[in-house]
Amino acid sequence: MSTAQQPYLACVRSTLTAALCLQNFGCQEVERHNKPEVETGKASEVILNPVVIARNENEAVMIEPSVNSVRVSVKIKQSDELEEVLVAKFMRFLMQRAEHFLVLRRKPVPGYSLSFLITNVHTETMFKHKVVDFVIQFMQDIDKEVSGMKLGVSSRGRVVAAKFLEQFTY
Amino acid sequence: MADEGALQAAIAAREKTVTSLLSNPPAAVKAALADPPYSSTSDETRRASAKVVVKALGAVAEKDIASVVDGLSGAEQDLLMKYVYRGLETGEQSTQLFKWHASLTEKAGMGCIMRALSEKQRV
Repeated sequence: MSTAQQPYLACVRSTLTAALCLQNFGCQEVERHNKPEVETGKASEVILNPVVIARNENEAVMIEPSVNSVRVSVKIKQSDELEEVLVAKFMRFLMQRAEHFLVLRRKPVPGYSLSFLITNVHTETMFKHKVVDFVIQFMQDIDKEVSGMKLGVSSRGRVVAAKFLEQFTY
Repeated sequence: MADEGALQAAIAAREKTVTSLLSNPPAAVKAALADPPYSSTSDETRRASAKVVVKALGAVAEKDIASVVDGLSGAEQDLLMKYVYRGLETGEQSTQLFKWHASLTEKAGMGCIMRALSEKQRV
């Protein structure tokens, strides 16, 4: 499973390493303010070209770079309705605890399951290659977790059904 | 402002050249990279242009990718990287395009990716 993903993750890794060349850039409209330019989206001269790396129509990563921040949005593979619900709940769980992750965005960009917002402050305080490693590791582990949760749902359902139906046997 | 019709005609002409050159993959790739539609305002034109390039790239066998990339000039490598990203947007032929991306990154380095991200002349 993961060997097939390797070229995709290698491509995302090198693109992300290039996109994460960030520097401090004060807000041009309000003095003394410092905003992530990719989020305000007002000045076109500081926003770089967004790039979408899609493995197929279900899995994609969108990287929107700018001078002081990068927004990385991940679309997680959801093959059926159960997985859609599981992914939605799992992502909601993670996004509610976004302060602990530091780089997580509280709302995903429309069309994607999860978004990261990495700013120049993060690249100054953390190792850049470690931040990239974190995003790649996240993408690798997410699929495994979701399939594990799916198995858990069906096995729990089986146990519950068996217990319930026991009362109807002699 | 360039005429969309003229650009589309140029892309159709380029496609014909590429189809005729498919037996000679390095020449097909070079032909596909000629005359990028920088001034186009229509998404359709750009997608058609990217399709021509992906077609040329698909004709190259995996072991020849490195040698074809070596044969391109620096500017052509940058342009190819921009086209690879365009091609990756749809998710079709992604395995092929990942191989090209890896080979280009190895030969042209991070600078190539940076230029694809920052240049205003988008393909």
